[in-house]
Amino acid sequence: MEPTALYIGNLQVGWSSFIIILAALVWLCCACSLVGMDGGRKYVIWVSFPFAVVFSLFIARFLNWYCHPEMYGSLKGAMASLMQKSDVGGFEMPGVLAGIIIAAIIAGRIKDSGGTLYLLDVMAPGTALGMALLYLTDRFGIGCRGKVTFDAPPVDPELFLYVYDGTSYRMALYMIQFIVLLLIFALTLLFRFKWGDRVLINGRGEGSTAVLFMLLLSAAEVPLDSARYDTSFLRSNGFVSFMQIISALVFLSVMVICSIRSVKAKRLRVLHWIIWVVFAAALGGTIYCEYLVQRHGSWYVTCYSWMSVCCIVMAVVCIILHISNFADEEHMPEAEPEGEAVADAADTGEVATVETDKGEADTFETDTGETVTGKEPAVMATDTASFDTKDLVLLDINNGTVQRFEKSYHESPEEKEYRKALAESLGIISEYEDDYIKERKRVAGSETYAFNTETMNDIRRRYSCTETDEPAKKRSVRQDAEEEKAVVLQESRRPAPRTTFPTNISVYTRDKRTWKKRRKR
Amino acid sequence: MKNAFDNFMSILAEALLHLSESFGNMQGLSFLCVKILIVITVLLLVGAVFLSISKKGGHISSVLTVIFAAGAVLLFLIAPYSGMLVVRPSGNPAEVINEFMTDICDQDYEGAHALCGDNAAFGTERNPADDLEGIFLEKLRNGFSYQLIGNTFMDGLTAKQYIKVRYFYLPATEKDLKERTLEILDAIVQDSQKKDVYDEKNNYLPGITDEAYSQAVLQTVGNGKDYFYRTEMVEVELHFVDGVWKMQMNDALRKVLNGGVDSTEYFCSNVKSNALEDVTYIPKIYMIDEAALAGPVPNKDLFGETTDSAEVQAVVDSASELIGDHELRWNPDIERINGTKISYYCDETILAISWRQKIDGEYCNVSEVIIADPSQLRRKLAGDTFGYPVQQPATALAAEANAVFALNADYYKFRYNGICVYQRELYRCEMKSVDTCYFDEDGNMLFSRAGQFSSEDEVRKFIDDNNVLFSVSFGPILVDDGEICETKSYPLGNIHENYSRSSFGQIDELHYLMVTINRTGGHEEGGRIENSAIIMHDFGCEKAYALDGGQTAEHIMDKHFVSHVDWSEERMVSDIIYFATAIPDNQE
Repeated sequence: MEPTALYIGNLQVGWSSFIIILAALVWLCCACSLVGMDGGRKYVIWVSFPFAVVFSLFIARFLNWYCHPEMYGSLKGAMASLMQKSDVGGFEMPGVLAGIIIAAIIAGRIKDSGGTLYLLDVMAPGTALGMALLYLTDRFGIGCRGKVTFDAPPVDPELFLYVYDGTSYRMALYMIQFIVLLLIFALTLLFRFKWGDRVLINGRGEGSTAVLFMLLLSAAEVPLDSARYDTSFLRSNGFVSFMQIISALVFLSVMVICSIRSVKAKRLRVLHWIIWVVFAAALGGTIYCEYLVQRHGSWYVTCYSWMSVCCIVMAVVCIILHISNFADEEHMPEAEPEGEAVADAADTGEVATVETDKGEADTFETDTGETVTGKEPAVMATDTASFDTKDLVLLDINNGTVQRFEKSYHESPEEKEYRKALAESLGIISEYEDDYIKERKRVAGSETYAFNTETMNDIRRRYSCTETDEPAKKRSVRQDAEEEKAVVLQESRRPAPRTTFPTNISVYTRDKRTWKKRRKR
Repeated sequence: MKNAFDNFMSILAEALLHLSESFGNMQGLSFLCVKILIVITVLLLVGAVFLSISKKGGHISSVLTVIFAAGAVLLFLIAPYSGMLVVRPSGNPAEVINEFMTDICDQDYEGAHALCGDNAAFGTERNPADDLEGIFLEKLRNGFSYQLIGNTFMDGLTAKQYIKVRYFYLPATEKDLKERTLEILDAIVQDSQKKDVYDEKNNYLPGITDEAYSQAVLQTVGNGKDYFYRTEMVEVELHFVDGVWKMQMNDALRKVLNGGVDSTEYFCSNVKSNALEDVTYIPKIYMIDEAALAGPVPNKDLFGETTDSAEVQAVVDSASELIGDHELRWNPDIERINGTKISYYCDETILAISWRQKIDGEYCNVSEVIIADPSQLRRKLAGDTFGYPVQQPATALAAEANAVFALNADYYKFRYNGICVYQRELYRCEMKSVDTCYFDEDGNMLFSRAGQFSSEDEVRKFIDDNNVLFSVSFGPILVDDGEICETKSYPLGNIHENYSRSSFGQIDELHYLMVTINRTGGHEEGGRIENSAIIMHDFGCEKAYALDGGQTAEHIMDKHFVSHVDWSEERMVSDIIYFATAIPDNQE
């Protein structure tokens, strides 16, 4: 097959070059679309793109030189041929992964980027799809074929599954890689939308999609890389391939880290032991199958089938362990007695309060500056350890000031109504989405969440003296003193008993141009 | 700027036109796949749009993702039917042909090689072995003239051109040489006394035949009659590679440059035999070109496999000319392992015998090979390129090389140790860890010890001084100058543990012995390196070297392994050592 697409003068461009460019663009667009759906800043992906391309190319070529030094003569020769020749092959896929990770680390340092883990999450599906397309370029070279030869293909070669190398037929492993990576792309994308932003117990919400992608990729690459006839090995050993070593490291590191997290959060349980035993058995099975297939090449069907099963089992148990670390209701504190419903406050326009057991009538200032005699607004005890998973951020861009709240997962309809009333009463939220579960990360709309009295007062304080889109009014010294007095008064009150509402509030501001994502706990 | 833009637009138009034509060429499953791809792309586009709307973001990006991915798959499907979209190579192929033929005529062979796409020798540029050969080569070199005929036909990156070449046709000299030799011989007989011409058996003395032949060469070839020259029309092909047109040496052109024969070296060696065939027997010399990637195809009928030692002895007896003074290690009285066969091959240029035997309690496969010319001992790499990433079974490599007998080598791709030489080029120079075995152009084994060299320059000097063709790096050295070499420790091969072993030894000139000690087949132990050394020494090897053992160790004849291989399964390897017949394909 002719690998060259264009030959103009001395410039030679191969078909694979076009596919590589399209694969890079696919990665870029996929990541941008996911960021866009999250309401994030796409320019961060654009910034990371050249880093990803450059680092991927150089690291992939470097790794290929390291594994096959005699093909190039020297490292300099290997890098020089990268710029001059458009031959197919000469790159290692782990280099592509490394380049993307480095690009995510660099771009993660940008403000409003969402952080490295978030970027890895949004880049993961695009990476899977891009890698799938990159494997197609092997059709134009000699790489990524199976070890086993056939005089005649078991199936029609027009199914693209077998290629003729001049003397015999070999399986076109690049097609298998393509199909498997498409599947990984679909699974990663599905996970991203469904569970990708689930927070971990004592952990962050980002990174799960990237972990899933790496696990699935590792499970696929162990048998597929072993089946290749041009497998790359490190210089120190010729038994375990480079890709297999990386896959093993991924499995082991995910298993170790998730095990530690899970045991810390939930204490050692029988499930943990079951998972570890199953993982160890699957790992042992993988190693044994690899040993067998190297000794008995004709057993490839059985060996690779069982190897694939074992790798899938490893990936599944790692995923189960990782998912078990997702924060859920079990790890929330017991519900506190509910305060008085304050839905009425929405009608009266007054600030809602939460009735406490020991609340005493007192006076306090409303957001309009009036002094109201009423029930004492409860100041909630802050107990960050118990309520970490219930941090809230109020999101509102309509008045140019945004405070982002992350939602509580377990909310009753009463809570929902309560928050709606509060929001409307404060005049902060101009728009309320019924289906906010899906919209909670949206930037363009507004969302409402529950918050405690302390925050409520805080918000009230912020907005009591300011109007929407108007510059802050000059305040008199007396007004400042009064406000300060109110704050001191509030702080001196004893903590209110807990309610079902969260106590840890992260409040930060944002205008339409900057996005301060860092939460304060 | 405008020119560049116009150029770009014309290239783009040509590419798109070519692509659209390619759709018409598509058929069968590929075309069906394109249709399915279009349907799937449309569905995915719709899905992407809905998803982006529901997510309220990423509208354009998601659509572009689908389009780019579909574009990549479409290119993958259409490329085989499209070939090259735009081909506009620079340069004039006719000028390259002119330059090449001028260099040939002017005997500027370096310049001519620079215009060629491969490094294979032309045949005319080599140094003659003696004065008589020099006369042939001088006539050949001075006798070229050429003329381009017609226009150059260009098809993409290939160009073809007919040229008419007048050259000195070597076979035309044979008849005259023979006649003249006999005439001169008669004259010498008449002018000399019998005792000065004949030996006790009434055969011509070698000096007389040589004298007659020499004079005949001077008088016939030296005079260079017109009918020795021939004019032929040859189609020359060029390929555009790395931005320049390169001559491709096809068989027709190579034969013309070699004076109408496959090899001037072969012709000059054997024309004397032909000239004197009526009066004395001079064995023909066959050899394989050093740069050849495979030997001539062996005669399948000459392979044999038997349990009858007498049959093998008969074959050995028929090869008495080849065996000459060599003392075979094979004999019909050897106690072979029950139920095992003897494999053999024998022609004028090679005798190979392989059998299984228990030696000192070890289960061994012993193979003995005698060759007529050192060029028959060769090395084959997967992909014929050092560092090629693909590995193949040894039997596949042996089949590609047309090997009569082959064995595993050092599996150089597995580890980065030792000094690796291939086709006289130094590819790897790790000097410290292992012993290295070299094979020179006379087929002799040479050794260097781990740490013997301290710089790459020393290694290169060693290679040049000793005319090393290739090397293997595993080791250790087992026998050197007929003495066992003890090795207390060695980084490769677990030398003090029991494994299958493979050894290569040289008994004397062009006489080799290879032994494997096998671990399976009822003998689970295998052997240690010291066992290999003792066995090779006891067989009388002057030199012996350990190759990669374990599952890699195997002997191959007639494309299948004849030794016992661990687990009865071949391992994928990167290289082999093999022996080939030197009889050319058209001489069977």
